[in-house]
Amino acid sequence: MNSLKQITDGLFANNPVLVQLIGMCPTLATTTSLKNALGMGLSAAAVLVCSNVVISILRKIIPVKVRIACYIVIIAGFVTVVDLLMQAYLPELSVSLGMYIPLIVVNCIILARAEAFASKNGVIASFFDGVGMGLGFTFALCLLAFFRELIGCGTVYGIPVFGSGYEPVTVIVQTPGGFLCLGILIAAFKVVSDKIKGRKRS
Amino acid sequence: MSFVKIVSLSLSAILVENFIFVRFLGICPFLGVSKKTDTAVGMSLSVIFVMTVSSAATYIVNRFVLVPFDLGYMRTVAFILIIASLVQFVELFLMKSVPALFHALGIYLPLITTNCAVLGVALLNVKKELDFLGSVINGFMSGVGFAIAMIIFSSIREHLEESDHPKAFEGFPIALISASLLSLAFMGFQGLSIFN
Amino acid sequence: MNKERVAMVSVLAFICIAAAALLGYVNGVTKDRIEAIANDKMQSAMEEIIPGAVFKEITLPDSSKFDKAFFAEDEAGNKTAFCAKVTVSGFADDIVLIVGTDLNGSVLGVKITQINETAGLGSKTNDEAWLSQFKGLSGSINLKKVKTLPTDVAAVSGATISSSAVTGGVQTALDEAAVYLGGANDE
Repeated sequence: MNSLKQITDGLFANNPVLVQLIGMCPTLATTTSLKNALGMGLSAAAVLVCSNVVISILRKIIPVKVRIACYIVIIAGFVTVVDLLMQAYLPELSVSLGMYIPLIVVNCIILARAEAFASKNGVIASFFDGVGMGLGFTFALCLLAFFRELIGCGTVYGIPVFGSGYEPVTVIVQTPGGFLCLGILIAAFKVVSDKIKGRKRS
Repeated sequence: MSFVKIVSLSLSAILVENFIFVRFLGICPFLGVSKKTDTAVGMSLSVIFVMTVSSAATYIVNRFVLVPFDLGYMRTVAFILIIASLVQFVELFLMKSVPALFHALGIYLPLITTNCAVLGVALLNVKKELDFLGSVINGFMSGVGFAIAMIIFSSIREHLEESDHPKAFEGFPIALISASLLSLAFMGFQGLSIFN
Repeated sequence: MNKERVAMVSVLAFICIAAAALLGYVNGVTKDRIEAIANDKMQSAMEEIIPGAVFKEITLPDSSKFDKAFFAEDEAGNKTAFCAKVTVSGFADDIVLIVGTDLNGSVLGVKITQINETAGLGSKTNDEAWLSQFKGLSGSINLKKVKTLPTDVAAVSGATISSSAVTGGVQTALDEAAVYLGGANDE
């Protein structure tokens, strides 16, 4: 599979959040602002790429019976590295994302890609799979965060957009809003991608 | 730990800071397993068990190994290893002793390892600086909160299957919108900080 | 069977050791910087509340509710003020406050160094205008919906929990400060 296709696959056709419907917890929790979403998406993407590569390199020597345990330790290791680097060099973001950084370790997406792809494919392919899925995850997060921040706070990346007359719909950046917006986004994405598939066929 | 503190901690874990409707932890199994009430119940019970025992185990490792030796940075790795081993153990135990339940839960049992709620509660216990009893109670009660959310939700979803809704919203989207309404209801509990 | 088991255990052990080594290294590299960041934040907050002072840390008893506490001194070594770092549980996450008081136990200023509350609601407790309500207060602080007395603190509308958390933190600071200030005043 060529690398460009892997990336577009991860972004659209096989987007982990919007199509495969995995990795929901951080999606709902960290999309209260575009900044957080970007930070979370890129951190998870970094871990995904690194763990995909390492697992692919070690795929022939990891025994089948302990593979999940091995994957988890590798993933947890990279998550901790990202966590420490963030605390040291991006402390504000680290505080904003809070415990969702260590929770990257149980992000279904990373384990799913390790099991479904990295354990069965070469290093280069696994690298691009990580990039594609990571970007797809970041894209989904940012899309959701863009709308939630716009409607819920009236800002985009912290910059007020509507002027002082706008009364922000704060519930959107709280828990119910998270569920609501994600539901609408998934439905909308399905409608759009169905239309595109229909057009391709005809 | 006084009785009042225990009640306060429990109410907080179940209602005020409900793992699914307030903290967004445990969403994947919540959406994935809640289609049928009996699988939801089975999953919930396993999760309660794993959350309680892992709260105890992670507390012990944190208190007696990680903190004294200044190994805080190993916390994520250590905790997730403990949880993974615990789930493996539960799987083997169920397979030998209660095979019916083991088969009913199927793939969802090993998936408890990746349930954010389990690792989440272990990390929260450390953050809140709870002692052993507090950690175990928090683990158990958060599991109960998760279970309540799952069971309420699965009964709603069973009804949703039969109702009319736009095709685009079939499956997850309509479930998420229902979840948002439930979450809105749970927001009402936010002011419930008695005994604090 | 035995060979299989040995392979399983040794691969898992190897990976664990490699991970631990990597993490030990990264931790060593970042540890000092992380600690420095935390200290800098607190230091600059204290200097904003009590400018031009030298801060001497106080050893706190285990029962203390403070994370850290300092006496502010002038060049001559005389105590001029008191400062404490308090962590409270907010609506979403912890809030870390720095509260400065004069030697009589009146608030000189409050600064927040860590806050993660809802944008547009709880986050308003970090506004300079809101925090300045605490200046000059002592004894028991009254948090109200609307200010009736000049010594009241008006809560942020729609952010009761965040407002009470911060107010509670300042109150804790005042209550426990009395213990240390009592000692200072005796000198």
